[in-house]
Amino acid sequence: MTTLRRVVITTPILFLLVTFSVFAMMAAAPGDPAIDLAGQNATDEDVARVRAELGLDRSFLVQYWNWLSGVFTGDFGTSYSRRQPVAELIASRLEPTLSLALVAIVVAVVLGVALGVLATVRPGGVLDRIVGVVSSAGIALPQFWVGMLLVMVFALTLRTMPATGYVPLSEGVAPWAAHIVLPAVALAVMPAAELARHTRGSVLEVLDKDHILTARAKGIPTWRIYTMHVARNAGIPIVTVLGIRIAQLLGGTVVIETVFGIQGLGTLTIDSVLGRDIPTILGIVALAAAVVLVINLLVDLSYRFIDPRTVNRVAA
Amino acid sequence: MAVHTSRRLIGAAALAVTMLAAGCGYGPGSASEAPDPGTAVLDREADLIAATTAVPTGFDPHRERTSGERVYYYPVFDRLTRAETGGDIVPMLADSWETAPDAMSMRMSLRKGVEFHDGSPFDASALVASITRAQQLPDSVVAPFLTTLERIEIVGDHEVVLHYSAPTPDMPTVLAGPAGAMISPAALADPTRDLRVDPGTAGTGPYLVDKFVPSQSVRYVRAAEENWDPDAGQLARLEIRFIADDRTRDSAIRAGEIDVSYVNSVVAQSVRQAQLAAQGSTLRLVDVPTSQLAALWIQSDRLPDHRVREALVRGIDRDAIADGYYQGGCVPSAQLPREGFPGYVDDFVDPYPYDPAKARELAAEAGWTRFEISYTAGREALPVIVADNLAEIGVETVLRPGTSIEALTAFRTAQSDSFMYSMASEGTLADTVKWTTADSRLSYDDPELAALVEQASRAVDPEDRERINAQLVTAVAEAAIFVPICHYNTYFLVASDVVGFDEALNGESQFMMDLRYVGRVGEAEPS
Repeated sequence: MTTLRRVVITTPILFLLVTFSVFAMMAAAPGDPAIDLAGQNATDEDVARVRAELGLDRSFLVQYWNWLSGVFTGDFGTSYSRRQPVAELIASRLEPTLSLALVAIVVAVVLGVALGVLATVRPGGVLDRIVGVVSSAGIALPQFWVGMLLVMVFALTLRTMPATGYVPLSEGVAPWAAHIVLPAVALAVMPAAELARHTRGSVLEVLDKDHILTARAKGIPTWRIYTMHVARNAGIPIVTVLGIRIAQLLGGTVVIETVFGIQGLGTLTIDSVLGRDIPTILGIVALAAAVVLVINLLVDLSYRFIDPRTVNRVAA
Repeated sequence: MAVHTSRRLIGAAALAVTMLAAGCGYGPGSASEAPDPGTAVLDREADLIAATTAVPTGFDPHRERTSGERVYYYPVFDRLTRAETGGDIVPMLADSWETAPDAMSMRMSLRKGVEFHDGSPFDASALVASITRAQQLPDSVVAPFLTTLERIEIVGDHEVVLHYSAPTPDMPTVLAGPAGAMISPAALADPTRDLRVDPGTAGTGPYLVDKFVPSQSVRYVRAAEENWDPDAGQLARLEIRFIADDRTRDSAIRAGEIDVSYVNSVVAQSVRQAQLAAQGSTLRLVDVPTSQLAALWIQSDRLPDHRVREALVRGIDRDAIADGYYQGGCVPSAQLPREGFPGYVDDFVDPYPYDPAKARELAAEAGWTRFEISYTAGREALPVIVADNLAEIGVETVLRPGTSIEALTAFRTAQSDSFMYSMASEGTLADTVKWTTADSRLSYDDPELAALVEQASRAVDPEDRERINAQLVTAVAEAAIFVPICHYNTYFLVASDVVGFDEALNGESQFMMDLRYVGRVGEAEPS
């Protein structure tokens, strides 16, 4: 089965599974969104009216079916609390999160791979030890703490970076970059640390192979050995880890957006869960599932380019 | 040796980073002084950004979801009257008023020459249109406050008489809130206009909404026309942002990205941080008393035995909570109203002062051994302290954290014995007690208390009112339907060049502010 065919078949199943599970969990969770939406002075009648308006008085399956049938026509419902179409709401919050995630991925890959490779130059040496300590710290430190520390140092003490907020790219690259650097670095620290460790392990493993020893014996320069022979062989485990980390990184935006006061999908997720805004939660979950699928697809496809033998192995 | 040295270096570096994280930005020094509004030259082209925890969900005064929306629509919609700190009612769009001796009517004179921003004149007909909508809108949240208003007689272009079905001496107080908000009749007649998302030019306030991002922020611009109130609208642009996280707001104001920041006084640590931040910096900590009472709401349906409720009130040490945890940020109180606010009883005698021995005796007598507290996760301090207090009287407490919706739902649907929350003033004392006993779902149904509420809201003679109010406050305390703990102060960190902010707070609740009179000092000083 080709990667594409597998994705086409699994996507609808995954979509139904994920959205139904989330819907069921939200329905089973204690708390009535109608009580919150009806307002603090609402009578029982007011609450009942709001419940009926939102369709919350119907059975759980009917509610889910209504939502699902809307999705088939491109309607993801209307946010309970914001009175705004969910698709529009998510679109309005997409840019900050996308910027944050993309920059964080770039930082994580550049930093993680570079540190991992540097550590292999002399295994057990000072550089290797430093990378080991730094990557351990990067994995251990909570993202919110790293974020707060960055704010303390760069925004409040050195006054070189903004502490909060987001400026759209349309308002200029410089202000956009200034606002995105600290949160992206805070978000990237953990995946960068993990990538560094995985890169180090994978590269060291490849460096022990016979063909690398042969290449060294032939006098091929180290940089060529790394780029021509090591990179391809060590690439697959690194890309696999990267794929998993990118999915987790999206979850990390929830914390980082809160610390930096960025109004993206992360903060929207928190607000929606706390406010029991089911249509918005489902919209975000559907989007997150789609992103994870796309990432997995890209990771699968990247194997072909990194090491075509993997495709032949699967085919065989 | 080299390894040891490296470890020491790493240790020293970690210590330095931690110390930097803990201490940077703070240091000894004196707090910034407020500019004198009398002498300061205001910069009429200035911007101001304020951040708060009130969520911008809409602008319709008659359909507000929470009182937090007032922060966002007060700059747009003027009311007939206005409450100052401490509850004094002063004119706004109403020039003057006179309540009849029997409080069955009130003659109100309206300010002349005022126009809504859409060009409609503000007159008696406009008042009738707004108040009629407040009464008749199916989902009006203010209609319960206008039940005695039978009809409005127009006696002149700018003069009306409000006729009541029962004595209503407190109508000026009611009209200082959302019920008294004046909305353009043209906007009200437009069926396509949804004031919840777009107030447009329907107000007479100093500002117009320029951009509204639901649940995020509202940006205002000063209305082009000269405002009827020359002291209002001192800023060219105003923005109010919702920033939920206390630390993020703190970082934003210390970095100079916002000019006004709400300090979460429910969390004592936030107040202490703000006090430190104001020392030796350009920030000023504004501290105003509010009528909001930290209280443990009791579900009377689940705890019908008065001995149990009395044991609960006697078993909680409010003085220790106020002094030990809040350290002055919350003033202990055994009565619902706060000193300096309407309804406060000077010679009030606490019917159930802290007495753990008596509480233990009552609990044992009633066979009460287990108690539940629902509360909003992240606000553990008070529930944990209360649970410790109750353990001393032999009652085991189950703490049930949840989202605010979960905690509120558990309480309102009687799935939990209590809810750690607060009580804010709902206008008059009678309205507040009515809300506390009925609408809040304390499920306390007492005909005698209801009769006292009725008497308090109808009493015309000032001496009678004071006497009945005192009876009401005492009766509420004796019923032990909630545990009063302390009245919160409200705190805001404000940039030192911000003028008139102290007047923006009326003490109604912690986050309430009306930024209409706030301005910023310009470069030049008067000679």
